[in-house]
Amino acid sequence: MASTAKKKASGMSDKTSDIILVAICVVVLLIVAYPLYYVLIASFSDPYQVYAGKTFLLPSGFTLDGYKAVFAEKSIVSAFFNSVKYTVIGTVFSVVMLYITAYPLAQKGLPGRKFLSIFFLFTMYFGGGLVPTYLVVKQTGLVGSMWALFLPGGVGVGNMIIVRNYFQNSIPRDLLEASSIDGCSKLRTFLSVVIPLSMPILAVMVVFSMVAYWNDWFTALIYLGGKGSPLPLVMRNILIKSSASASQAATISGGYAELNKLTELLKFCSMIVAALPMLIIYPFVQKHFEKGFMAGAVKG
Amino acid sequence: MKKNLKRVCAAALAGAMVLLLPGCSGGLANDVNDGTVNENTEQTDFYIMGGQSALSAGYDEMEVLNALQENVGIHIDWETMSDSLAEQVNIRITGGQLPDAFQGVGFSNYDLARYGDDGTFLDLSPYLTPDIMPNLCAVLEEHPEIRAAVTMEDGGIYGLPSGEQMTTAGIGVDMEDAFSIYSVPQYSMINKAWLDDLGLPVPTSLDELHDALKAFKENDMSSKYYGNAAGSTIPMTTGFDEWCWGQNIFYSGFGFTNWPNDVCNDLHLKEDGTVEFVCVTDAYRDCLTYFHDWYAEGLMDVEMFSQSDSQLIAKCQQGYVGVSTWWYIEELMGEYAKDYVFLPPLTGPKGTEYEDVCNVTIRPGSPISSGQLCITNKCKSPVNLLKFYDQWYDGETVMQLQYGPKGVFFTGQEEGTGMWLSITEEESQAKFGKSSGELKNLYEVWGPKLILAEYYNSVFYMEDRAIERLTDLDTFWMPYVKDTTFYPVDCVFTGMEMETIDWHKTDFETTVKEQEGLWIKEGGPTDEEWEAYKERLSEKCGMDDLLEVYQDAYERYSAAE
Repeated sequence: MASTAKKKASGMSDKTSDIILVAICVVVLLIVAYPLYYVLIASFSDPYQVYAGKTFLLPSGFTLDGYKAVFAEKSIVSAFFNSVKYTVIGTVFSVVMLYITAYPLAQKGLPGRKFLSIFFLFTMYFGGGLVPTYLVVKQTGLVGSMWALFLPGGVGVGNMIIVRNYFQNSIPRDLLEASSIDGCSKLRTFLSVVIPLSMPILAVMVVFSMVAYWNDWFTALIYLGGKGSPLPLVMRNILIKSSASASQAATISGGYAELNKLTELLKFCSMIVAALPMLIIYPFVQKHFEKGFMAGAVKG
Repeated sequence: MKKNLKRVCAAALAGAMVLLLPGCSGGLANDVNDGTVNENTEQTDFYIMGGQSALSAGYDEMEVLNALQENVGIHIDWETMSDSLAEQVNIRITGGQLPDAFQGVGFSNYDLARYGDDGTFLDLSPYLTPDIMPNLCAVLEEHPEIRAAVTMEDGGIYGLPSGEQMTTAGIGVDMEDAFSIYSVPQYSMINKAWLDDLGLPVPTSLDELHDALKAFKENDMSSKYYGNAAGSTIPMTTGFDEWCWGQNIFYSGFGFTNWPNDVCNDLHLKEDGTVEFVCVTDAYRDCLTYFHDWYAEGLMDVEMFSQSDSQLIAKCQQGYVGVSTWWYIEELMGEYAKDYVFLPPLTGPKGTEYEDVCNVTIRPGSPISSGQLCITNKCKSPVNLLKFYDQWYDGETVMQLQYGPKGVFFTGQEEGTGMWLSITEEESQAKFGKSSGELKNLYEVWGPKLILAEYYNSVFYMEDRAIERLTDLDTFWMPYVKDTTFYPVDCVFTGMEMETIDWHKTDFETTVKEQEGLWIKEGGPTDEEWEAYKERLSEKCGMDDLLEVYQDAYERYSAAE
């Protein structure tokens, strides 16, 4: 109360401060949103005009060639559904793995807790590298199977630590004790008390995993062997298909400049096509986002 | 604390063991690499992994390849990709999941020596007999230099030769005097319409070009002549040390052109057979000092150090640019191309020792490589597979593998000579709805294709634009080349030498390039800077070692000739 009174005394009315705040927010929004908008209009523009600095608020040299080339690729629809499949299964799998790893580690009484924590932490500092990891995946017979995308990196250690901290610090111990006094088994406590109480962090983890699986093309490239490619990988192939190197242009009579134009255009189009689904889903989860993230991290 | 440390160590050890284990299971028995022919001919189904062009639909339906397989009674399962080939191949080799052969991968000599040494790739030298490979043997008989280029230091040949010798021989120059299409990669060009408008001649010296660029800028020619926005004129823009769109052609006024190339940038072979790095000569220093003035006056594009080729094309196709470089004029300048003419190599600045200097040095052609077809130790019957590949060393076959089948890319034979005619741009658009370049990309097979210079005047005609470029090269650009020696791209290096190159070359090239850019941007070197630079190249970047390696390899090469 005292502080509001002071502010008023200093002469700034609520209205003026609102106006200033809104103005600042609008400026920040413009700074953040313009690059996104720019990519959008660039995807409809002649790329050489874009690079020559002619595009500002509206597309210049309007063209749909980029989108035509993207949707001319027959595998784009199946790639979209592959991506949805991998994202849904991967997210569910990863979140379940996170929870069943983080919850025990949050229990002070867990035997070997310190060792296990270090065991997990170790992997954040040292990794085997691509080839050894591939060999492990190969020897477990997962190459070519969709599970190669989820199993090797199933528990994201960074995320796991955030969830663990959340369990430790944000769920009152008394509540857990109360539930056990009321006759809950350990499992029941986890399912009926801990999970509902950790909704904010759950939302965060869902978004993190979802975005990661949606964007992941490298794992699919390495392990799937060209079958069941997800959207980003197909987009990448479209892009590569259209790119012709300058050295090839030496013997290509069709001309490098024209081929290259489409390649540059596709860069923008593929960004839009690949990012759009995420941009649509994001706002729905976002309301849980900030709260949950801070809840786990600050008290860590 | 101590206890924790122990645990960490234990965990680390456990981790290390997990990482080491797979290494032990990779021991592949290799009992066939002892320099004799493996006579086994049982295997007729082969599995081959490799590269393909981005537009290709794979090789299963490729009629030319299928016919070649039928001829020798084998069947090949292809796994080809255009993308991330190197990663996939590395994983296969390390993981021991080898195909029978790698085709169109493009292994470096360093890789070939390594995988040949550890037995992953078979030594093919005993198989190069007229019984097994009659076509290839005939070619090697005629061109011993090709055999020399693919023979490794240990005497083994770990891959079949490939290369494309597109030279001026294809437009009627004698084989002995012919030069590669890559000899002068950058064709400089200037806007003649602007020059005429200003009443200026096409420059022949750097001073004249300087004045012309200044006039372009002061009169804002892009705005005045083409009606672009005011101030949009870029007097001169190029890439920086880029292969066909760099600034290097303009250095001719100082007696050198340090083309980026496949051997080592800035390496130059003098007429007397000694090699030098031009980047430590006084001419080089004077040159950078000189061009800094241009840069400071705003005549050279500030974005020249960072722009991509797309950005360069974008500027040129808007009509902003007075002077640039590219492979052809039409492609870079688009609809403005008719206003541009070649800007000849220029003489040095007046009143200096470079006043009458104008020398273009030439760039080596494309190398003969043996990294396009390597047979692995998984292959049970190399003889069968090699018989298949021997068919590739025939002019008419390799032409179809490179461009497309007869009846598709090649439309018919010329009467009298029997030379095959390529599809024209118009025919290609009308018949297939694609440019002939796309058509080629669709049908091209990657692999051990050896396209000898003589094929272009005995088997088929090269594409129109290649002919056009070679004609320009022969008539316009080659007369500026006084000294036609260049470092032979097919020099063979020993294992030790390859290691020296592997260790130092990238470092050396990057350091030189960065410093070159800085001096153009910020002003040429003072005496201390110049000394420090030379010292750094010698001590940190292995310049002396590199020079020695290149000199030794060249001496062996010329002795063998």
